[in-house]
Amino acid sequence: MPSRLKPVDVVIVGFGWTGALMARELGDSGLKLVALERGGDRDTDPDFQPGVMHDELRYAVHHRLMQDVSRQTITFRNRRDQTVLPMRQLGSFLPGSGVGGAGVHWNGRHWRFLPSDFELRSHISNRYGAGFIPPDMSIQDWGVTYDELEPFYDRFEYLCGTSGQAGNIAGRQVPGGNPFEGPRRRGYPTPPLKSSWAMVLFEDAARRLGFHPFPQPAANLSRPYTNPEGAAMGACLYCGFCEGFGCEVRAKASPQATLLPAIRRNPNFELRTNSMVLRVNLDGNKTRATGVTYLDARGQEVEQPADLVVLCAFALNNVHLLLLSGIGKPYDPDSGQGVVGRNYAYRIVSRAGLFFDNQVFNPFMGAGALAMCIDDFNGDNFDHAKRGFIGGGTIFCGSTGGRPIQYHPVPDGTPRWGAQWKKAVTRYYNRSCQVTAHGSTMAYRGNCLDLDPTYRDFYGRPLLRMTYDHQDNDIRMSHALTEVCQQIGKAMGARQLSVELAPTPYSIVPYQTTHNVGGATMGADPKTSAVNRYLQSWDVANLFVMGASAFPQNTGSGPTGTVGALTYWAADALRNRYLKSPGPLVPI
Amino acid sequence: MRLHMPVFDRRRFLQVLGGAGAAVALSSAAGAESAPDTNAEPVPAPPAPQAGPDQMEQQTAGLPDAATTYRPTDKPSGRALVFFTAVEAAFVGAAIERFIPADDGGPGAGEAGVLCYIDRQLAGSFGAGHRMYLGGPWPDGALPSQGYQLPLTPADLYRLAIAEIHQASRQANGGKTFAELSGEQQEAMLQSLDKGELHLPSAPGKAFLDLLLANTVEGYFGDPAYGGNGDLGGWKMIGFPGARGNYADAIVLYRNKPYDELPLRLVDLQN
Ligand SMILES: Cc1cc2nc3c(=O)[nH]c(=O)nc-3n(C[C@H](O)[C@H](O)[C@H](O)COP(=O)(O)OP(=O)(O)OC[C@H]3O[C@@H](n4cnc5c(N)ncnc54)[C@H](O)[C@@H]3O)c2cc1C
Repeated sequence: MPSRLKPVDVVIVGFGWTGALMARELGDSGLKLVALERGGDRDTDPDFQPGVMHDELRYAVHHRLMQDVSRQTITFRNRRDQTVLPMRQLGSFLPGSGVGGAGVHWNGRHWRFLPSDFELRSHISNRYGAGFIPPDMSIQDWGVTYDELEPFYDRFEYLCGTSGQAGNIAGRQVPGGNPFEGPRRRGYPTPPLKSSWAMVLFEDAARRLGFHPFPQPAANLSRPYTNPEGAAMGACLYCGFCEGFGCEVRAKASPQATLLPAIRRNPNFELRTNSMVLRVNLDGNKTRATGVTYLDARGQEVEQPADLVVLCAFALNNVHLLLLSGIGKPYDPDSGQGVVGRNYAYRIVSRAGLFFDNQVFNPFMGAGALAMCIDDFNGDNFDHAKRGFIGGGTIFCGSTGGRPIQYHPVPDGTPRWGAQWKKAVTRYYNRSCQVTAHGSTMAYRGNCLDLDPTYRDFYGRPLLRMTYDHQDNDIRMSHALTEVCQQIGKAMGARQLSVELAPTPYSIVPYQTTHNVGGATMGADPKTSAVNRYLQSWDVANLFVMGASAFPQNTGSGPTGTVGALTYWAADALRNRYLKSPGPLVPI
Repeated sequence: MRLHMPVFDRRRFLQVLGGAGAAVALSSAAGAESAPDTNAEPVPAPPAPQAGPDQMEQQTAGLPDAATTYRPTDKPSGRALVFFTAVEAAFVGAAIERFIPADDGGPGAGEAGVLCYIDRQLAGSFGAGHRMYLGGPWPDGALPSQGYQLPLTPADLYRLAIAEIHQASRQANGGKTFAELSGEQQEAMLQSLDKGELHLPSAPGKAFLDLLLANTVEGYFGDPAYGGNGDLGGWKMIGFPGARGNYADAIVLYRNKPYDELPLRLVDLQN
């Protein structure tokens, strides 16, 4: 029998970006809050100091800040007619573990989605006709609009101190920013970061080609900043140990750098680390969550009763917990019925490798989100009619930190090892840069998540099973973007170009991005979404599910700006409406 | 393996790691984080090159193919082995020197201490498969897109594959071990492992080769705290300033100019 603790008002499962935002937003309510985090505690000092962090092997290669797959992993196959097998090592994506979650080791590319992204199915149907959408593509509208989220985008940017150049302030175009962005109420809290040499070349080339380059919005701060929570953040050192690492000077926005001091001042808040939540408990009718069961650091089962449960465990883990707890109808790809596990989507990455004779890039100087980019080929910023595909992506050239175990580019035709390889590595380490495309992937009937019938995790639970492949529409989109990467690369003066397409079939082996989305999507219709527009479960009204699991499909920009905005949006509805009168916020 | 950054030579990288049996360098090094050995290296490293592109030009112009003449020694580091047997160490010492041979451009993997690096990694938690999911079943027919699919830990894989390569070499070469072969013969054997042409009785040869190559690069370019990258030779060769990491002014000052500060190690930042 698990030991049963005294009930609390709110239990937050997972303490990364969304968990910390939720803890802070509910902090003034006077409610008793408990956050349960499976990993350990850690903070800027001493854990992220350079004498610890500047170690490529330990963090980038051995993934010490990330989920331990010997404890919890997924099983994977490209298609349903294939044998499914466990992901035995981390690869394609790198979920975080420990206080701050992946918010500690993310890059900090801080995007807003485009207004049309939120109404994708309607927008495409209106502009190109409903027949433009392939029959197996299950894209849908979000149930929330850009204009509704704008205030919350703004709050999250000012929390993070994000550096960037606005392109559209309240409908007025601002030179130097992203001309395609939705209107924002004001500029970024801090000005853009300094450009590396690669970015200077990219900006010039892109402009000459008639594109609209602008500095990528970066939650890596260009100057010291004190955020509205009173947290003092430092200016970026361009140290080149950013993505995959924690920041030593609080220049990269993370829960630690932006929120933890304020959260810890709340006497009604308790953080329990090394607490692995196994499931959400329900009442007999399965319409009310009664709390959660977790394993404490000593492996003892503990039941924590609560009036409100908020899942903040990262997209894949949220879906896993919903399935394990029997909340919401599991999706069945054969019938197309059910919602939990439906519309899992990802990202499609490709790039052009550029090799120069006489340019020196110093690739080790960088920051996670330091890049110059164009949005000309993102979303519906270009005419898709002749292209015959849906979607797009951001194209960028940046300097995130050329750490040499993983970064030593060589031109095509170089042997894999030996004297020639060594010569090429020496020659090109400092004479290369890359133009990369981060493309969207749409949602499809066959790409989905469910529980694995065979493999179990360390805690004895069925693993989450992922069935995913890149589909023709997205591959063609990615190829079109890759051509633009090459075009810009040539205009930058590269002597030699190599093309790196996304692996097809999709492979879980090489790192691509941790932009796993969907599986518990938001929407207006309980038949095609697991949560309503406030991220509240349709089935269990006192359960909210934060994070990119709510995205109905992916877009061409990084998820976290929208993940933060949606969390603020949901917290606002929780505070101002739900707590006053608990129950469904949208009638069924 | 790459973070949000360009993957070096990505297409080939996918081939490397995509094989059904591909093992990827992964997992904790905690068990192997023993203090770096302070014993002087018996083989002095060649003078470190400057990393500026102009110098690089000169260094690389008209070099002899040093790899074909280099003779590996089986005691390159003078440091005790804690995992490999002498037979295993002889194989690894020879193979890694094929991967990164000594020449005027920079040290070979042997001088850089890569054997010591791999030996310590295998003795520790990395070798034991820490942070890998190793539970069964292991059905036939894994797809390349599903990655590593063997019950073997990295230490198991090394042990098994080296023993079988040892046998294969002796059988094919009149009793000669891999380390006793000529440079060309060694190269041919590694190439046939890479192409999946050398069939070993039970070890996945290609997966092993990929792992050995990945570990070699780690040892060569990782922090010397782990036993490799002796005299910071790997970093000096390419002009990587190591753990240094403060370029707030330099990122503008050194646009299109080589940055020539000497590299720092983790230990320099800790003191
Ligand atoms: C290397 C990397 C680079 C990235 N770069 C970018 C970028 O540049 N731009 C961008 O937009 N996004 C980026 N991301 C994605 C970004 O990190 C995530 O979108 C963001 O952290 C999601 O917030 P979250 O709260 O949903 O999950 P997390 O921040 O990961 O938090 C989830 C937390 O829940 C905990 N948890 C999970 N399961 C349980 C359980 N059962 N019990 C208790 N606790 C549990 C985890 O340990 C973790 O701490 C990147 C991610 C990675 C890994």
